[in-house]
Amino acid sequence: MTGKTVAIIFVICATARGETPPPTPTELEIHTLSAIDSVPTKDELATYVQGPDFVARLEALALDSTVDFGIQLRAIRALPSFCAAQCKDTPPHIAVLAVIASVPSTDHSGRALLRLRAGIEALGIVKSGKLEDVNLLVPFLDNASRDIRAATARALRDMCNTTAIVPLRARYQHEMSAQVRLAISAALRDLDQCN
Amino acid sequence: MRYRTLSSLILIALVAGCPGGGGGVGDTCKSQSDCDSSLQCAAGTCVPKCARAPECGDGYSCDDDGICHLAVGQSGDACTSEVDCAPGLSCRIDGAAVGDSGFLLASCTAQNTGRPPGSTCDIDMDCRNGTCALGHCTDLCDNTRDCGNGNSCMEIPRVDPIANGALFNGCLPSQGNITWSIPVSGPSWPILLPVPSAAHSASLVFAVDDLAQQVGAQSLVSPGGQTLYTRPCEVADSTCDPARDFYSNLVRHQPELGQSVLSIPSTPSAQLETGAYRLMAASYRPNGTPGSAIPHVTAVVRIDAAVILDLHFYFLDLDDHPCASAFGDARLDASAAQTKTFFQNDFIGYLRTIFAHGGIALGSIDYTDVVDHPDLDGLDVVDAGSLLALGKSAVGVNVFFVRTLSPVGLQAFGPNPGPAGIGGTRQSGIVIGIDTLCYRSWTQLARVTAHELARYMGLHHNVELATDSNNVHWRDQIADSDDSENNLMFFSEFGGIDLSNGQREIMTRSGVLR
Repeated sequence: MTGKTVAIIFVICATARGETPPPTPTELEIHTLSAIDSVPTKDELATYVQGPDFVARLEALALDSTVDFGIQLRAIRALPSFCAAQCKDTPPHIAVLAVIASVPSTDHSGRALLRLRAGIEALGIVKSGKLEDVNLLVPFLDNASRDIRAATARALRDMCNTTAIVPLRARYQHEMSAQVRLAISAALRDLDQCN
Repeated sequence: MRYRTLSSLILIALVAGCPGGGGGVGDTCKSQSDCDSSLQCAAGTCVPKCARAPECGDGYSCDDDGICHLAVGQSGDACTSEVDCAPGLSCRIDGAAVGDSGFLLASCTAQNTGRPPGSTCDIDMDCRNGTCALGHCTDLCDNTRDCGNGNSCMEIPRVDPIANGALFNGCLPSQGNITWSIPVSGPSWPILLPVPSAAHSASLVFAVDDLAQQVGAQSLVSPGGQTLYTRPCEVADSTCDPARDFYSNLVRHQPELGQSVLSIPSTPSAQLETGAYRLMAASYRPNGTPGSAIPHVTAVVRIDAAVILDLHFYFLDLDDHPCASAFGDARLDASAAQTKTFFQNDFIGYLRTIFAHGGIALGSIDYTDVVDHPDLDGLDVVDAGSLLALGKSAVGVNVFFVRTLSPVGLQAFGPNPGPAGIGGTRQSGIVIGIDTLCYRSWTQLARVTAHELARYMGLHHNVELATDSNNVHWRDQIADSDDSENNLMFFSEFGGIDLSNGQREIMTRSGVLR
């Protein structure tokens, strides 16, 4: 299935449903957000994603369920590319928070977990420094999915906010998964360097 | 040893008895006509005809008719093959002098106490017959009959500083990979890579102990003098376009942190040449300035064509996976993968179909669980080296299935090209993220896997998303591979499985095949 075919299918489905046209990704956007073994650079995103508001466009692609799921995931992960030196409360930061909020806490499907993991990973990269972000992530240390717990530990490490140390230690005490314990250990080790 | 070979043949013959005329094995004889046509008369006894000179013993040749002949070359006599020199002597290259035929001159010289042909060596004196080439003791030869079983006579460049790439004829394995280490004594060091006439591909694996430094080639020049590769400039400015430099090289290569691979050829339009390739191996700081680490360089030369690809599947802990519905809501591990239809038919079956397009057949497939590395179950690509180093198989490709791959959205990861023929390095395999199965099928994952395997084997993306200053997309160096989405090497997951003839040619030269 080519990128052009994917784009056409989006349009046909939306039209058939009589909905407001979704943010149908262009062929170039599909190519940009479907690479197998690389992530798009900021230059590539700025060249091939419809502008001028790249963040709004990526957010629209990320949040529209009619868009191919692989495209959604990569759009989420691409949002931090548009962070300036300080990303706190900027549109990419707000968009990432919106992605995390869009995942119902009751949805434990594989795709929901993958979307949540993408949002958590992106929030770690945003590195806003805000306590609210740490507080948003900490509950995910108790998520049923060990992939989510491990991703959360990594994101808290990436945020480099030492307020995460206490909840990470607390989780470590009763964490059963070796994968997550190792992720928490690595996070605690790196957070010690963040002061 | 070789004396004993002929003596044994004669002893067997004597025990078997000696009837007259048309004699069988062991019969006495005065001439060839006394023996059956399938035998030869050697030292007064009918013995089996020879196929290779080593069957006759040291100091003998084997002619077209399968008859052993005692060599007459004495110490100091000119020779072109090991079989020219009398027992106890070996045919050795004299120095840098080249004869009318264009090949290095040699003469009969007393054997030393070194290792027999085929043994590994670092210098000539390591070898009984005095010639070390491609890291192995090598006999000089005129034709393949002069060589032991499994070896062929081929042109070999001599890469010592005196001979400087001049050719001689020597015996090397007729098929498979020849692997050896090339000594390097400084952070930037000139290397001569010998490529024999029967080679189909050659590669160099550069590694440094300091993983914070980059390592690779600075330049590469063919035996004919063509510059095939120059290290791309570092920082884009009015005089430097790193992407243009990278994509315009005939051999595509980039020094990387810890380890990198350079593979020749990258395109049918710059075929592999017989002779010594000249290159500079070097380490670099992350900012591109000269490094301090001394590169370890391993060479792999592929002899003959091969079409069989072995795969070694490794399964990290995939228990309780969010995408488990794609594998029957059960545990996917080495055991399950060998029996489940989705893996055997949908995944491996489609891999077979894809590689059949490339003229390659899947060979043996083995399955291993990786149970003691929970830190790598969910892999961040920056840690990929730790995982790939677990890939011990040198033949074929190691394929690791991990729970998740970060950054999210990345479906596969691996070196381009990979260190074909070498296991246990930080690039010895590819990684496939099983989280892709939350939104793609097994057949789609098979295409992703085939794409990454082909990169490991030396193909590059047929076209890249990035463009040059004229807005033309960068592409591979293979003339007949178009920029179609239908190509296996199209960078997007929404691509096809087509391969051009040129792509097939490069892929089937890979040292991963057998």
